[in-house]
Formats: sequence, structure tokens, C-alpha cells
Amino acid sequence: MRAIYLISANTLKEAMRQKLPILVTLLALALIASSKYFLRLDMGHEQLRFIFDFGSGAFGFFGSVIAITAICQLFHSEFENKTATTLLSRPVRRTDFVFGKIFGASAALALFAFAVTLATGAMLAYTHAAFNSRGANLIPSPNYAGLCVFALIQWLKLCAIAAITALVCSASRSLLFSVVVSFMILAVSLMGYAAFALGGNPGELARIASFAFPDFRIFAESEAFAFAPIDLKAAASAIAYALIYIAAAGLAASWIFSRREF
Amino acid sequence: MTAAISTLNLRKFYRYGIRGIAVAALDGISFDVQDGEVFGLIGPNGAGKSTTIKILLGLVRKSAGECSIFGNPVSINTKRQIGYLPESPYFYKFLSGFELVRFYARLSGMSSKESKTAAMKALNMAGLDDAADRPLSVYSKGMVQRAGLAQAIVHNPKLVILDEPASGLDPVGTSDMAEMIRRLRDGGKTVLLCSHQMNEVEKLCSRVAILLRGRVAAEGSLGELLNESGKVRLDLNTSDPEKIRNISEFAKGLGVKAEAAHMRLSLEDYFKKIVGGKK
Repeated sequence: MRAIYLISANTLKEAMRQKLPILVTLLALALIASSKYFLRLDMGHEQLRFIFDFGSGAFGFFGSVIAITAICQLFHSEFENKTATTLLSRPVRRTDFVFGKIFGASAALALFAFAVTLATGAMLAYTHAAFNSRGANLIPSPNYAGLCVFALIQWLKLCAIAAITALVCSASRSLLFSVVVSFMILAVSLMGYAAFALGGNPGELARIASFAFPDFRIFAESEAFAFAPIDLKAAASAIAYALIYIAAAGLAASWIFSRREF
Repeated sequence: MTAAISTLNLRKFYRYGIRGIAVAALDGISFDVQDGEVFGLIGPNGAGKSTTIKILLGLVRKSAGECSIFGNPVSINTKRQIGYLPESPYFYKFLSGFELVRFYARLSGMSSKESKTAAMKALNMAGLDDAADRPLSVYSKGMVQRAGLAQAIVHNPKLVILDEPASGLDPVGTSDMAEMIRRLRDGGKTVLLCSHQMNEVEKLCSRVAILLRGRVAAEGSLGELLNESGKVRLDLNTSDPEKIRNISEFAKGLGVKAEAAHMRLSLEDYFKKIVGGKK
């Protein structure tokens, strides 16, 4: 456990020095901050929903970009710079290395999630206060606790994406290959989600193949928590699904990585 | 006594292409490194030196044969007894020298408190105590190499494996590195030195193995390998032609063929004399 902790702490330090995740985070924050100006109409309560959707969209899109690109860079820089050779010459198991990388990237994603959630919450509070200060039609306050649970579940979704990316990286020898394949897996997962959401009736082969890809529908249910009471059962299911997926992808990555030679 | 490193008929094949054609990187290597000695592993590029080291470190799986570290097969536990300096080491540039060495100390099982003291001690031995707080991104090549040695010895390993430790260093840096290796030997460590610099190997190693195309072409002590039978070198502390002629005549009278040539410093020694004196 100590090796995992040390590797993840080091990975977090390295991630904090990467330019792309910081740039993407700043872009997400700028987008959320500007959400108010995208809508000129006074839509009352729906305006809060619009701002939340903006924040949620930025969370999902930019978070996925960071989850894939950051872990690909963090993994492949170890191979290209041969730092993995020195690291693995120590009493460190390949499993420690893989989970250290996943947890380090997850810690970086937690900082992104915190910043985006804070910005979304601040925008919601500001817009809500601005409406209510006019005194006409008081609109109900967003559920900030629900927003936090939503953020936790979305963060776990990003961690699951990071774990799947780690699985790709453990088998791949090229950064570009890892990034492209990881985005393809994400795209297939999202398209599957969209197909099911639109009421599509996939064939048997597509249904079997869908088991190999994460089902993002389970995470989408948490979007309702920001304006409604938290559905504890749905939240627990999403958290458990993410944790199982992270563990399974991490163990598969460790097994593949253990067969790799340096 | 158990050998620090023992390999017996060690083989490694790499497979290439769709048909999986096997190419032998190691073709039955056998050698032993005794506890407390400095052993040189030398050979041309592609001879199998790095593959041998990587098998000992568990980075590459052997295809056949046996290898052990202090009598035990390669495992996580044997790695605790090994310190490794890779060729042309590249470390995390965002860490300072102290943070880097401490990171590896902790990975080797040291507590937070122990690792602080051990890191400073290792940096001190490597002559980097003044630069310990600087990030590695501003280190020179020689300083990175020293930091590499510090991380290799920070956990007080019984066996230190050095892969081209003087690679890219200037003669003074090479000399300093040699001095550090001598100190490791004097401290009772076993050192496996892998180098292209024959001069360095000759000065430091008690025994060597020469690898060629994945096989041990020669192995033994330097005395066994290098002594030319029937010849002795006689150093004279004079350059007076008259005296040299007389000595040659005397030798001739005894039936001994003597050849005289002016002794001179090697360029490396001269460079070290000039640059080392000014440093």
C-alpha cells in the first residue's frame, strides 16, 4: 500500500505540472462562468437548470479529456523516459505501479471536479440570489448537497474512464495509440448510452459488446440530484458500479502490465 | 559462501514478427559474482549486458536457465538488496535531488524519518549535498549521474548494479565516479559494473566477464586474463640516454632483450591533471 501511495503522490505532482489538464480546467471554469451570458431570456427556475446543465456538460466533456490525456501522458512518459525501469527495479509490484498511476490521476481529477463543482455551485447561488432579490416570483433553491453527490458520482465516472485508459496504456507502446483507442472506447460507450436513451433496440451482438464498455446511463441519473432529493439507492448503485469498474479495469491492466518487459 | 549473483546457462529469446522468429539475446550465460567484489560485465553493444541486468532486476523474464541473488531466485524480496543505476538515467525533473533520493528510499521500505537521514547521507556521499534542494531540471549531466548513484545506494543495498555509470561524464567526473565505486567496495558492497570504458573496468574490478553475442567469451580475474607470460615491465626514473644505454647493455650481457621508450601520460591522465587541478 505504501508503494501505491508513493507512486500516486508522485503522479499527482507530475500531473499538476502538465499544461494540458490545467488549460482544460481553466477552459471549463471560463465556460461555466460565462454560462449566464449565453442565456438572455428570463426563464426563472429553468435558468438554474440551464446553468447546471452547462456545468454538468463541462464536467463530463472536459473531465473526460483530462482523464484520458493525463493518464496516457503519465503512463507513457514513464516508458519513454525510462523512469519506469528505475521504479520497477525497486521492490514495487506491477499492480502497485498501475494502481498508483490510476489513483494519482484520480487525485488530479478530484481537484478538477472540486474546481468545476465549486464554480457551478457559485453560479447557481449567484443566479438564484439575483432572481430572488427581484422579489417577484421566489424560486426554490438548488439542492447543494445533491450537487455534491452528483459531483462525487461524476468524479468516480472519470476515475473509471482513467482506469480503462490505464488498461489501454498497459498494453500499448505508443502514446498516440493509447489516446485514440481510449477516446474510441469513450465514444462507443457514449453512443451506446445515447442509443439506449433514444429507445434503440440493439441487436444481440451489440448487446453482448455493450457489456465490455462502461454503461454511462447509471451515472446520468445523478443529474437529478441538484434539484430534487437525493435518491440514495441510485447514488449507491452508481458508486458501486464505478468502484467495481475501476477495480476490474485496474486488475486487468496490472495483469497485462505484469507481462510487459522493459 | 553464497555468491551475490549466480547465473547458470541463462537464456533469453526475443520473438519478432508475425511468425515469431526467435532471436537469442542471451545464449547460455553462466557466471558468479562473489560477495564483496567489484565484478565487471563488459562487451560490445548487443552482447547481452543490459538484458542480463534486466533479468537480475526482474524487468525481463528469462527464457531458460537459472539466476539467483544471494542464493534466492529473483523476486520482490531480492530487489530490496539491490541498488540500480541505469544507463543514462532520467529521473522526475520536477523533484529536487533530495526529494528524488528520498522517494526511492521510501519505495525501498524505509520509514519517513529514516528516509530523510538516509537521503542526506547518500547525497553527501555522491557529493550533491550542496545541490540537494535544487530541482533535477537544473542539474548537469554529471550531477544527474551522481543523483542516480545516490538513489541506488540510499537504502544501503548489499549489491549495487551500475550500468555505464560514467556514461557522458568528463574525465574528472569519471574519476570521481570511480572513487565512489571504490568507497562502495571498501564499505563491503558487491558491485556489478557494466561499462564500455575498459580503463575504468581495469582500475576497479577484481574479476570480469566478457560477453559476446549472448555468450561468455572470457571470465576470470584481471591477473589471469591480462598477464603476458614471460614479460615484465621495468620502470626507470631517468631519461638520461647514457644511463639507459648502459642498462640496455647490461641486460644484453645477461641475455635479456630490453626495449626502452619514453613514458608519457595518457591524454586522459593529462586532462585530469590540468582540469582536476583547476576544479
